[in-house]
Amino acid sequence: MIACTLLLPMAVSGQQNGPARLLPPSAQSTMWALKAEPRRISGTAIYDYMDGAGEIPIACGYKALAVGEYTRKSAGGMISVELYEFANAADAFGLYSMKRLAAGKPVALTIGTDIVQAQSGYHELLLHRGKYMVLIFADDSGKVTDADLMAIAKLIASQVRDASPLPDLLKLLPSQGVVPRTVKYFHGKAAMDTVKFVREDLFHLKAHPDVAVATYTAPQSRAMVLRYGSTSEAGMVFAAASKSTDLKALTFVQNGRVVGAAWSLVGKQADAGLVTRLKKSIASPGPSVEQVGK
Amino acid sequence: MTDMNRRQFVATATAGVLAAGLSADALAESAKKTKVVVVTCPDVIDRDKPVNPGAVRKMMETGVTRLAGTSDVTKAWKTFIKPTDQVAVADAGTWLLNVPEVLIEIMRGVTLAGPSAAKLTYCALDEGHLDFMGKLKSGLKDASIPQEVLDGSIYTIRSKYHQQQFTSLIMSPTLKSHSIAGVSGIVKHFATMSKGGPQPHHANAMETSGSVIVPEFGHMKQLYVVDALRFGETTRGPQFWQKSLIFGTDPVATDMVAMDVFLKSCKTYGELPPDHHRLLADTRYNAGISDRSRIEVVNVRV
Repeated sequence: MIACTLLLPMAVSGQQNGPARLLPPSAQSTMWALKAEPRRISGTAIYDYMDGAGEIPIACGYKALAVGEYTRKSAGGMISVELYEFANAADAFGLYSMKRLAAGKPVALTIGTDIVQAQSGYHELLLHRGKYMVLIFADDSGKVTDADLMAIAKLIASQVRDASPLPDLLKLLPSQGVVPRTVKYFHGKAAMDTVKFVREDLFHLKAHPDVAVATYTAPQSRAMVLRYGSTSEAGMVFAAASKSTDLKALTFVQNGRVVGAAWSLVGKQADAGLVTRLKKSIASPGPSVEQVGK
Repeated sequence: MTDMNRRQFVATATAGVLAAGLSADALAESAKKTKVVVVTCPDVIDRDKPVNPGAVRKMMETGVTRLAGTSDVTKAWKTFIKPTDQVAVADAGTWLLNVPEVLIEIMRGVTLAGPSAAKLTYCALDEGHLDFMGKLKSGLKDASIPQEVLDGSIYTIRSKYHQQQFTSLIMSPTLKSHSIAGVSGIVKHFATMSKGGPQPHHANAMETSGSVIVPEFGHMKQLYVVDALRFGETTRGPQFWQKSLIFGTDPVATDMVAMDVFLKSCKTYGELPPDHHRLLADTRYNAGISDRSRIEVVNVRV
């Protein structure tokens, strides 16, 4: 059992706005303490903090980022916390989905009766709670334990009262055959490039549609749904993508504002069964393809 | 490749091809090849084994001598660095820090060559990594290299290399899966080190990253020592212990070979094509050779 002491951040931070207010000044009975005032970042200033890695938070629609570093005098080591704030819980899940690893280990983190989406691995802990995505990671000294990371994670997660609904778009992807923890949700081209690289913006991602992708087994495949602002916009994308030679291995479907696509990761043609399931799930949304806590 | 080294290499290749009695076409093709040396040592480091400094030195000496075509280590370094040179050694930066011993051995080699000036330009963000900086400083001290060679003011984002008088660049990048480039390496590293910073080159799997090599760094003689002792996974640290150093003078050719070695044991990030920006560095920006048939890969185990 980890002894957590919550020193109310608002009492210390005064009129702080943005996600920095959620960073506790200390954890584990003050063993870990904030080294300095948290760094506050928004917009393209994220490139000054993380250079190339800033593209993905931007593609997921991040609004603000607070970065805090925790140290402890007694045993050494350093923990860094990146706390991303989004306009809504769906977008926060988006960055969580992009940052997690399929091989990551789901973490049992509950606040009251709520299961918090979290995973660990590589001396880091990722969590999604409300409109926040939190990355907590240890330095390479070997002095920081998973329990240390979890203590800070609990303190942050417990301050977020909002619900964490998943993107409703995830109901439009078929659930049968999905590989756990492969669902991704985003809006921008930098994120799209990591799941289907096409040089031209054939999916019209400049318009920031909602995009959800998942990987499937038997045969290994991907299915994707993109939701645009209007049926005509979706129609234009459907027409352009369907005749593109760069996307000839993809099978496209359209239903109103939604364009769906499926493709094989091992063969030349999309699996007919997956295409059928995709059409069906777009027409009649089912349960979310993402299973929280699994 | 330096002019001198290119001439030396062409002469060596020509003699070999003539001796083999090959056609004029084969001769011309062979003469265009650039050499990349991959030195691997099973005992140098492992997941649970600290680096063996003696093995790193042996790998470094083997790599530069095989690349230069001489058995003498000092002569080899002097092939790449002249007494009048002002040398910048550039480290790998924060996503996967160099094994410090690699940078120390490069600086030892630079010292052997005796240039007029040399700086180990480490990424300014590395300063937060106290363990890395501490090992670097103590290693330089043990090698009797003054701490003053360390300079964290040049490799900033945006960098200040263009404000310096460097005539020689030795770059030692690491390779890792990268969320916008697929697999990072030499060509991508040039974008990071460019005066405009990397951000303008992020789009489309960093396809314009090779555009800065000739305009911003083309006036400098270049040597690449890819630190492939281990490969990284984005910012998450090492994922595979490759135990190799990769040497070359052509940025694109060396990066193509390094990428091929990476992909034997690790994956690109998602579906990003890791060769996209590398191929364009050649075909669009004429910064080096991407055609594998024009690259002579020399594999050495020590």
